[in-house]
Amino acid sequence: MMTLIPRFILLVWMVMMFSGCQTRHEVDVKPVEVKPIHITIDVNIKVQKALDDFFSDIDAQEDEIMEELEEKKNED
Amino acid sequence: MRIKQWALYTIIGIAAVLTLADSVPAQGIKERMKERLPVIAQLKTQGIVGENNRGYLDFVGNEKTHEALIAQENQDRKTVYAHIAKQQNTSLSVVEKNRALQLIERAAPGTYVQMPDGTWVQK
Repeated sequence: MMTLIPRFILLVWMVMMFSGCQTRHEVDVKPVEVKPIHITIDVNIKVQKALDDFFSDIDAQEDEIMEELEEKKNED
Repeated sequence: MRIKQWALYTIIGIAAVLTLADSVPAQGIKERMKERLPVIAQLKTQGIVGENNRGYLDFVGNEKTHEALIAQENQDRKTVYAHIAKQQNTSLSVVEKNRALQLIERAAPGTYVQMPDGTWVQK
């Protein structure tokens, strides 16, 4: 019984000492917002290609007409 | 064997119909647009019309001529943009803005274009 008391005291002391060494790390993990930038770029590229497919010959014809008008303007 | 052939012809037929249906609004509109080009080019060089920031023709100043032709051109453009928007599974405004950027890029010197912020500039 006499030996139990010092052991108990030692145990309490050890618990108190080691609890003082305890560290806590609280890391706030914010939700990661993934913006669909690549999707937007992909859509724009596809749209521009579709526009090119339709308008390329019209645009080329307009360029020719514009050049002719510019030449006429310079002649005058 | 005959069933296989019949199935193959059916698939080819459906594919052809779908391909043609997909390009239905394109061909007639394209021809009309090409026919209008000389007048539109003339109006652009005169500074009467310019390309706005939504991919359509717009009057720059107070002088307004060939209003019906400009309206028809814009209507045809809208049909094409809507078709592309549907095809690419996106909105009409995305197509309009993309075309407007293309038109700003390729505008001839001296012609008017409307910048994304709404200001008109002469290239």
